[in-house]
Amino acid sequence: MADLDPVIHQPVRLRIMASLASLHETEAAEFTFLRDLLGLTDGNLGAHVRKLEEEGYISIEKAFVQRKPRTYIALSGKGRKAFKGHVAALQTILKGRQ
Amino acid sequence: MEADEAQLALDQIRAAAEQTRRAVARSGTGWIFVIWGCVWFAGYLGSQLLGGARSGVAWLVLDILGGVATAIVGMRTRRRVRVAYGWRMAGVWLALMAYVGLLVWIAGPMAADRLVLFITVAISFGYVFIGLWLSPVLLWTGVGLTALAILGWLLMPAYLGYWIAFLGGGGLIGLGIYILRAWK
Repeated sequence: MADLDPVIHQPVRLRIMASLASLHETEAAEFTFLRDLLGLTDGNLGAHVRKLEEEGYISIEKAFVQRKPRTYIALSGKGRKAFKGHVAALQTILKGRQ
Repeated sequence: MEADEAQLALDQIRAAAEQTRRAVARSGTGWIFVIWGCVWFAGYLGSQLLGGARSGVAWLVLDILGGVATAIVGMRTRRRVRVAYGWRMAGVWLALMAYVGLLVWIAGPMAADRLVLFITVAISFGYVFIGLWLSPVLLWTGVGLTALAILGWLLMPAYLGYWIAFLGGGGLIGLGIYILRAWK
C-alpha cells in the first residue's frame, strides 16, 4: 500500500500537483496562469513551488516569450510518480471505509 | 486520516485537474479545431467547385491562413501553457505537406476523386501520428476522418469534395465548438 506523501498532502500543494499532473508530460504551466487558476498570491504560490522543487517534484524553467520573462513549471518524473502514489493512498483509505 | 478527508482531497484533485484542462482547452485546442475545420470546409468545397490548378492555389492560400491563425492561437496559449516540441509539430505538418505534394507528383495524373481521397488520408495520417504521440483527441479525429473519407469515396466518389467539406470540415468545426462550450 502506498503511503500519503506529507509534502503533497498540504492542500495548496495538492492542488498545484493536481493541476500540473493534468497536463501532458510535454506541457508546462506558466507561473501567473497557475496563480490565477488556483486563486493564489505570487508569494504563496512561490513558497509552495520552492518546496516542491526542493523535493524534486517539479522543474522550473525561465524563458522569454514576446520579450517578456515567463516562468514555466512542470511536473518531474519523480513528482508524477509521487502524486500517483498519493492518489492511490487516498483511494485505499476511501475503500477501507466502503 | 479519515475517509471523509480522503474523499475531500480526491474531490479537490479532480476539481483542480478539470479546471486546468478546461482553461488550456479554452485558450487553444477548441479554436485550432475550428480554424482547421474552416480550412477543410472551404478547401474541399473549392476542390469540388473549382477543380484543377485553381483549387490547388485555393488550398495553398487556405493552408497559409490556417497556419498563421494557428500560430497566433499558439502564441496566446503559450502565455498559459508551453508545449515542448511545438516547433517539431509544425515541422511534422510542413514535412507531411511537402511529401504529399512529392508523392502526388511521382504518382502522376490521378482522377480528381482519387486525388482528394489520397490527400485526405495522408493528412489524416498526420492527425493519427501526432495523436499517438500527444493526444487521444487528435488520434481519434484522424481515424474518424480516414474512415469518413473512405466511406465517402465508396458511396459517392463524384461528390467526395462536398462529402468531406460538410462532414469532415463541419465535424472539425463542431468538435472545436463542443470543446469550447463543454470545457468552459
